[in-house]
Amino acid sequence: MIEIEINGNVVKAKAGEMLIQVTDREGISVPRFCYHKKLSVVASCRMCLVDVEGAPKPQPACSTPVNEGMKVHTQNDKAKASQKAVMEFLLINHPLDCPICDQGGECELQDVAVEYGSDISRFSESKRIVPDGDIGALIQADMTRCIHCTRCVRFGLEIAGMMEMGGTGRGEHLKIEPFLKEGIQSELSGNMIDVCPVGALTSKPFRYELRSWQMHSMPNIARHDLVGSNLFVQTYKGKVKRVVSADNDLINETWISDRDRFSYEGLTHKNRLLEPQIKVQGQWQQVSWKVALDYAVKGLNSHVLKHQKVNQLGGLASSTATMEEFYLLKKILTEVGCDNIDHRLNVKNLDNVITLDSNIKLGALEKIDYALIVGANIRLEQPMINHRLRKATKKGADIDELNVMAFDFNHPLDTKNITAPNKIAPTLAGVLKSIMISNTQELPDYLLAVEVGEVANNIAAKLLNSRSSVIILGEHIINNEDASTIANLITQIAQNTNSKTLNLSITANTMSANWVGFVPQNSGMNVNTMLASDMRGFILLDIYPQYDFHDLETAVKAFTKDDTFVISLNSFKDDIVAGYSNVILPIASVYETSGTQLNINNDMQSYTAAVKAPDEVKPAWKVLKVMADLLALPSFHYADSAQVLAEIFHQPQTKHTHDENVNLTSKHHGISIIWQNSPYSIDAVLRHSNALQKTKIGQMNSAYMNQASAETLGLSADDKYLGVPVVITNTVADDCVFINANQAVNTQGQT
Amino acid sequence: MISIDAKKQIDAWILKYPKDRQSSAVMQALKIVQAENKNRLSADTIQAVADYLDMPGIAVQEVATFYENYNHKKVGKHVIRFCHNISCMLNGADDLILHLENKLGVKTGEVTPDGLISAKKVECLGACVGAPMFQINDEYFENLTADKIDQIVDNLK
Amino acid sequence: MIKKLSKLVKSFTLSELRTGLKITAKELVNKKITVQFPEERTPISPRFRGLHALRRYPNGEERCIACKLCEAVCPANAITIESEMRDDGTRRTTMYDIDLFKCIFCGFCEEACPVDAIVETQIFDYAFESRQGSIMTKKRLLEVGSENTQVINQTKFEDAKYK
Repeated sequence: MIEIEINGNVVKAKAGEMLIQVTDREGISVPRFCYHKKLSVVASCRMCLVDVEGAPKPQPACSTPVNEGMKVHTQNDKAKASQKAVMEFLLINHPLDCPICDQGGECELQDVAVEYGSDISRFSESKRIVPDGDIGALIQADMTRCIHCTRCVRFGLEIAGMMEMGGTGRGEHLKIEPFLKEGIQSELSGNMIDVCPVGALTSKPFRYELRSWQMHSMPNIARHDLVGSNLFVQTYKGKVKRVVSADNDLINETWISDRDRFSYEGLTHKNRLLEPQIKVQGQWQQVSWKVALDYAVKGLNSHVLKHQKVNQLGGLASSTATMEEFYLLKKILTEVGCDNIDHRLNVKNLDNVITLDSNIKLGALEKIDYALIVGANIRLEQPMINHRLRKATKKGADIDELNVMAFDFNHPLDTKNITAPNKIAPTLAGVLKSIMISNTQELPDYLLAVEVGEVANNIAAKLLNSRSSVIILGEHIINNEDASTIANLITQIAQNTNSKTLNLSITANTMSANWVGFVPQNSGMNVNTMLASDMRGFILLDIYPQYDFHDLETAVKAFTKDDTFVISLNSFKDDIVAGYSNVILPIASVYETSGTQLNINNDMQSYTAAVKAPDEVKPAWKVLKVMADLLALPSFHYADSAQVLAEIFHQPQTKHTHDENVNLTSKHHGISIIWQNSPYSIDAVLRHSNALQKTKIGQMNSAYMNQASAETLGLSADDKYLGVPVVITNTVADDCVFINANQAVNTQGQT
Repeated sequence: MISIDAKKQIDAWILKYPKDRQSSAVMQALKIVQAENKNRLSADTIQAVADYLDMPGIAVQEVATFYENYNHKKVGKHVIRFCHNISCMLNGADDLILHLENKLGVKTGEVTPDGLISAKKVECLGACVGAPMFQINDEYFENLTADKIDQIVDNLK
Repeated sequence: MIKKLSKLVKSFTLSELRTGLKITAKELVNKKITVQFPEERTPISPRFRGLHALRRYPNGEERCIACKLCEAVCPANAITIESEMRDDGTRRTTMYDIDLFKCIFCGFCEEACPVDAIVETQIFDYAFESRQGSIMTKKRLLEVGSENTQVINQTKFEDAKYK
């Protein structure tokens, strides 16, 4: 620690840190445009010039390291004069179109100009005009307003990991633009809107709608991935108009993914379900809540409860539900006396599930020196977690992948191991064997016959040599024939090498579902058993079977049976849901309900509703509570969701039993299919947000396979496989079709 | 996109820089690729150079648009790069550029109808001592006057 | 004593009455200053703040760009604006309402307007026949603007040199 003097006050500072960091910490205002706390320092705008005693000229605070005894004046005549001079230069080419600029009112240039700008311009020559291209569906460019701070360029290079914007031309002709005609494609691109200090980059869906001062800002939590990014929901007259990021260094730093930023558009989609509906003699009728709930409860009573057939009732929820909703649905079913609950709709074989704990914090992920990614396209599936990994690679970490396809990463990979799905478990067994041999441990029986290949040896050596490593298990494994074996091998490898593990095979709020134990216990049936057996009633929470189930047909068949009474709670209209349901209850979507999200760090983050749900739409936790009341179940006395959460805390937390079996005998032949909903199609709100669907990631819809697999399946590049256009590429492993689909057909049960 | 011969030339330049610093060869690579593509660069050729040097396309575009010796539009057989930076400007470059335009019958940035000559205004070429000056292809012509320009241009074939 | 005496003399000579009648007699022959409203009207300052109007450019394009500064500055919250991107890509209002019951005719909206779109005209004699009538919609405001284009242009021109 050293001491420096700023404006006559002595303050403490760390030697070598930049002056602007000290002034920011001390709350001394220094104007700036190009400096951003999370980006590199370029000192190009010169707005932060301050007077340092002893220096002949004013120094930029953002790139002047502090040293002992330094005397700085941020507000004396010399500093002010230089700041005003810089401001005058910046304003030479900046247009006076603040009244039509969406940044107006929250613009850094506007704010600084009030203090440092001059009333009258001395510039009478003509101003520079920059023609704008279309740079994508999410960001609107008005580059005449650009002041060349290059924050967006540095954001692309340093944070998003793909340099998309750049400064082309020279001198007065310098302009910031993307090179590709397709525009900006990063999955974090929306942050450029936040970092832009002027109105050059603004939100396209929000264009010209409102001024910043008209909206209320409500803190909320993103619900589309395992991170639970902190954000502000900005609302006007009860509608969500914009979402911007909030700072939380432990979770999302200051960034949010495009998925979290633009999903709100889905809330006002014309497909929103606005009124309760009941099906009477095959005809849908829009009715009041009272009628609908009475009908639902009567249906449950007559189909299930009255006949003592409680074990023929099932409750299924998608992973997007809140913790309170999982808990209440579970509680209803438990209190009427059945344990048939599940959220693992997408898992083919529930005797073969992944049980793997995540034991590394997001912050610690930056400090690892080796990571092994197994079965994940982590950049698109968990953008904010990938961002931490990318930071680790910048500090020199090695990352290996063990994937079925070579995905685009935005950080360098040490080795790309592209492996057929049925070879993943043997490879990991090889890694474990290699490690145990190195550690001179006695080998268990199942490893004796395992061959250790070069890939396995490499990975083992890196794991053994690293100080802190992590093994990441991704979504592509959930339907692998060896899923549980892979998870168990990873657990053992981690134990033997002191590695951490990160389980990214789950999505959205699955952590909460596991926390409240939303899986069948005791004699309860799991989802696949339920669908296969003779069920008489279902309560379905926000389920769209064509996206959520691994086998659409079986699910729909189970729901459609004549004597099966189905209560669906949904946010959006859906033909298939309407086809099998008896009652459809409209429930609130993201930002419309209070609830709790549990992220991969085990941070429990509660949020309140930012807006009231439209029309007759109610939050699902309330619907479930009232339904319980009507079923005459005691102990559902909740005034708000916080009371539900309080009760959850008093429950004994469900412990997962680890099945430690490693079974390497499975002989899977033929072609395996890995079906992934594309990143912007993973839940109903995202599927209904127009701008996201127009992006390149939103348009992803391909079945990737290599030439050999295509020949085996008798397909060529113009064909469709399971309704998805075929792309033949040698980046896919043998015997494997990797599907990234944004469409509504999901028949991944086939092999 | 890039011929084998050009790749060989670029590789020779890459070897001059430390390992993993192949992007340092970007200016030479652009020059080589431009030479074999009718003396101009298109978005595709720029992307090809980017791919070959493992750089983002926009980073190569930045270089290609910063320096005046890369052409992005159709150019003539001879390219006149007329400096109009401060020293040349003070010595009357603006008038001489007008004179050149009249002489050629086309504006700067355009090509004469016979495809022989194109002229463009460029930033400082580092020959302020002989201002005003221009460069034709790789040759500098200094201390220009209207008469001298006429003479030089007439001699271009 | 003398004061009392002088008062007595004044009252007996009807001095006050004559002073009053003198003014009456003078005004009897002077030029009249009252006017026959509404047939006749008194002159109004160009800076008068009466009924609002939205102006158009000479080419017919509406001036308002939906910056909402008038809405923000309005001390009585009388203005409500909604905006969108028009098909040609420009920023325009879809709704521009002024509630005349709320309006206090302070003229801040006119001051705040960067494009001189919202102005206060010299019209002060207007009436509504329903409660709804107090809302000046965008359509009505533009009508007032185009009906009084000349007067507005004239008064704004006259006032411009003092701004």
